[in-house]
Amino acid sequence: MTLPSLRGELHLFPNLIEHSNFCFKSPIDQKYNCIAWAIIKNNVWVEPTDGNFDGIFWPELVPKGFSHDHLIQLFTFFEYRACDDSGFEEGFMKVALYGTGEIWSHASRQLVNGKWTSKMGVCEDIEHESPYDLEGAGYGKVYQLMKRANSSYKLAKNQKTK
Amino acid sequence: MALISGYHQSLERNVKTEVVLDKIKMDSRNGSFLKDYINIEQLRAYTPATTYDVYLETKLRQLTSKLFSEISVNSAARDIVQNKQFKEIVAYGEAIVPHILNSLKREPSILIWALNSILKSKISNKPLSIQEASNEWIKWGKNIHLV
Repeated sequence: MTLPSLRGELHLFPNLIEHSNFCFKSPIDQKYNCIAWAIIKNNVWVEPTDGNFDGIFWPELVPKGFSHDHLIQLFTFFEYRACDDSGFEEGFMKVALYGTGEIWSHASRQLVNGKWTSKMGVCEDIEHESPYDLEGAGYGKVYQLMKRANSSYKLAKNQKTK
Repeated sequence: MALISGYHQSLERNVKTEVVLDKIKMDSRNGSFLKDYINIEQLRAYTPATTYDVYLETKLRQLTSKLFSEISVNSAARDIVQNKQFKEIVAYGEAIVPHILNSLKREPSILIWALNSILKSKISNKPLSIQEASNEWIKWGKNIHLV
């Protein structure tokens, strides 16, 4: 089966080429989507559906829908809270939510090195400098930044202190 | 179980069809009749099973490649299941199921959603990953000798 590479779709992300020192971080993979990757899962698709499809997950307690607010509610369920700054903050994990028109389209996640990671549809995962690198015809604009305490960071820090 | 028994009934229908198809196999060996039956339903009715299988296998590969190149950076299952190529795969119905299962054997994929659409059933009500659901579908196919 021939799967597409982001290399053929870079025209959709002009900022990625012009401003970002981005790099590919995974092979092409269709077993998870960008929202799953943003909540650190790489084996399911996270999307609201009518429940008729295998391998697609959406928390029961989160209202189903595709408005900007529905994606905010999903990340709120995972203990993220709205924030204004995409800069790295020690001890926190951040996500950026993207939308075109009234519909959410994508999410990216900040890594502990301060860079951002995105699963690009059925194409590769990439690492990019800023969440705004992906703004453009493909995913629209970042409409919300959110953050939560990074529990694994706290754990690592506690172990170092001991 | 309802799913499996329904599939067995469908296989019985296919066996009867194949008996009829055997009768025209001799005439079709020169392959010339194919160009006269470009309509899919006619092709399904008049093509020997083996030739139709080759056709379906090729068609599935073509449609899947086109599907993925069209969705590319889009992560929305809602768009994938509405895609023209996806709908065409589903439109082939039960005949294409063994070919999808073979494709899943080569690589677990979101083609499991085509199985969900064709057979109007999930393989499990448990929350499975794409890989796990693909494996369960293959197991189901093996149990009823489809793969």
